Amino acid sequence: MKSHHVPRVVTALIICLGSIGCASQYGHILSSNDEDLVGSHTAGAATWNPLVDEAVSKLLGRCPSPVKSVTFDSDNQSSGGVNQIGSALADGRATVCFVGIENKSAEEIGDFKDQLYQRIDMQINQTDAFRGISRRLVDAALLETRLRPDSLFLPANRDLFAASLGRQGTPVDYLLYANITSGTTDRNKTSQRDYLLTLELVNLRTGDALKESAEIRKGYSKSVAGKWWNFGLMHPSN
Amino acid sequence: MNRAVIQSMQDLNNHPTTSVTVDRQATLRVSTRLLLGSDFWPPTVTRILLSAACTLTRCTGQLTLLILIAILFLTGCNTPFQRFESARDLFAAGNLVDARQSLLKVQEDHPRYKTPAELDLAMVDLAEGNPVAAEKRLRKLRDGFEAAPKIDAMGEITSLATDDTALRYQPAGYEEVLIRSMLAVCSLANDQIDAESYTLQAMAKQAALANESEKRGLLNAKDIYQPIAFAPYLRGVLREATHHDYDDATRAYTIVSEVQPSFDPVLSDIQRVSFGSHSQPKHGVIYVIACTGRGPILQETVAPTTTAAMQIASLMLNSAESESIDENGNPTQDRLILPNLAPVKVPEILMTESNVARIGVTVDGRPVGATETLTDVETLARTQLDAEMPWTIARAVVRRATKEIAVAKTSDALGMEGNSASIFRFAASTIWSGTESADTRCWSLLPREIQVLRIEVPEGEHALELSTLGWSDEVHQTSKKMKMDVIDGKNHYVIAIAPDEQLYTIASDDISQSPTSAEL
Repeated sequence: MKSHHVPRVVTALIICLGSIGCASQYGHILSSNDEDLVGSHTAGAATWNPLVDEAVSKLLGRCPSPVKSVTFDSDNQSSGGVNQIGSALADGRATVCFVGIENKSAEEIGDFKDQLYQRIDMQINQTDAFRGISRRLVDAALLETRLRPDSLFLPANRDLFAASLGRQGTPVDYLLYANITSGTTDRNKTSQRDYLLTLELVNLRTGDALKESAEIRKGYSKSVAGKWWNFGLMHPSN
Repeated sequence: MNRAVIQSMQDLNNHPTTSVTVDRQATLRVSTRLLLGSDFWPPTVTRILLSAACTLTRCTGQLTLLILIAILFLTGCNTPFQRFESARDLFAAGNLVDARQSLLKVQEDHPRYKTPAELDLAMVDLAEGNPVAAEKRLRKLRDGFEAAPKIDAMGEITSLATDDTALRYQPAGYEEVLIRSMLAVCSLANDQIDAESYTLQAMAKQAALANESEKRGLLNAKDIYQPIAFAPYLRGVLREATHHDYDDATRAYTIVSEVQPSFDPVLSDIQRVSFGSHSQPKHGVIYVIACTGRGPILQETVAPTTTAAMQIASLMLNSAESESIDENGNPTQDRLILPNLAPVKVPEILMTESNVARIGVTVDGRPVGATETLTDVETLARTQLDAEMPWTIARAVVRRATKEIAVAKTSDALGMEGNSASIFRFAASTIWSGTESADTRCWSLLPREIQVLRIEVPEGEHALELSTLGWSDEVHQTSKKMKMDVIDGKNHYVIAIAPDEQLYTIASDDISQSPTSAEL
């Protein structure tokens, strides 16, 4: 290199290196047909959203319409007609108290928990069969009774809780519980984790329960080669 | 120390210093290996950095001399240690106004120390009872650190010629987690709206740091980037207060018990959230979150073991650059070699003693307990510094090599020969290296420990008194009183900052007429 080129080269180099150091953070809005991101270390939107959609639709699919009955089948046997269970509401819709989501999986779900609650609650509310009770009222009843959500399975506690909600002017027909569990299988540096979302709808008057669940299995690998080796080269995600 | 660094040192030792011929390429190879071995920069960036350094040394003699003189002047700048020390003492003595002024002066006069001073100013804001200002300041800092590029290329180049303070200030891992945790504390002392988000961010940051350390292949990564108990504890406290997310609280408290087994109260916390409820009916909970003692700061020291290595490297480089060609075209080494004896400066932890061990609390005149240590900031700082030390030293090795090359090229370009050249090189490189400073920037107003006390009390109005306790649990003469209206089933938070016997308190639900109460 000729000596008179040196200052120019150094200047260009400094500008290039300076540009490496520029801060960058970008964001963009995803359209409705964009695919959810698949979490690299934990379940993410691509796991939770389909799980909720499937579990809720399965549960609602097994519930009878409000015109025919507000009850549901338990153990493949009809639990009765229109008047046997009844509804707290004049329009025939049954009131559902969504108690909460219990995370028993191996992962901390962080900010997804409250979002899953809202997603399930909203989908339940959008049906003709049910009307959800405000979470604020549910919280107030839990605070007043000092009952734990998992203790509401006991009939005495359930009655206490329902009475508290009733005093607030919100009679309840059903309690809805959501439960997240996981099962992990490890093989060297690759693992498979099965996520299961279970929804349980409990009739407060009869104690009958209706249960539905949805499952998504997910593989985690430290490398692309590990993914190919364990899950196959022709895997759809490739 | 990193394997590559050790290998480089062995390579240097394997050459007899009296007869060795080391060309610039060999030096570049050693430097490259040191840089690559440090895992600090990606290899591509490393090559660019070294090429730039070599290009600079190929400049004409006059230009190099000018650069050399400019750098010598630059590195000789005064450092703001006295002002930082003064701010810390004023903060501990209760003079927040002057502490703030001192930190603002640092920001004005020393741009490189602006960010750590900003972190300290957030603590001053909080101690002044202004959690809104502290939250705003910390949020801005958090966003700045998040948005900053991982590689500070210009800073890296400048640091080769000066020292590590030329690098952009990057907080230590535990400081990044504590920024988010302190944000949660600020929110709890104010409107509590964002507290849960901040605790989530603190947990997410911890997970990210753990992943990062795993990627770097550190053998003891889990020890170095161990989770800080304070972040999951706050998460547990907030989830428990929802009265329906006891599973999250159990998970968070379990992490606390694993990270800080000495924090006994967490066992009863786990028991409560696993089988009981937030509190008895018609009761509420007061949490006293205390920042006690004076936290770790960094001071400059000499790395003795590395100074010997520096001399070896220096000798090698001098030998290489002393090479001359005789009439027959053969290389000769017939010059006086004067090694660069300037020591390598590295940071070390300095703790300032404090008389405060804990914070004692009385409710309605009845002692209810004292705060217990949840997070030991001193231990976190020591672990972090020890982990980073090989990288700090590796950077010093590369910096010294670069300076030796630059000085040698300058003497050659100026036409110096013989012993006068050696003396010039010795003097210039020693002075230049002597102007280096260790990077001692840190969040210096952090406490020594973060402590917590949980008090369950019946709903209604209660008088609280907080006192600083000494190492033998003797009660100091400094106390703060406040009144709190406890609501059924709710959490209330009192933040206490006691760098020494001076006590600052912030409580969002303090209903007393005089917020500062008695200060004896």
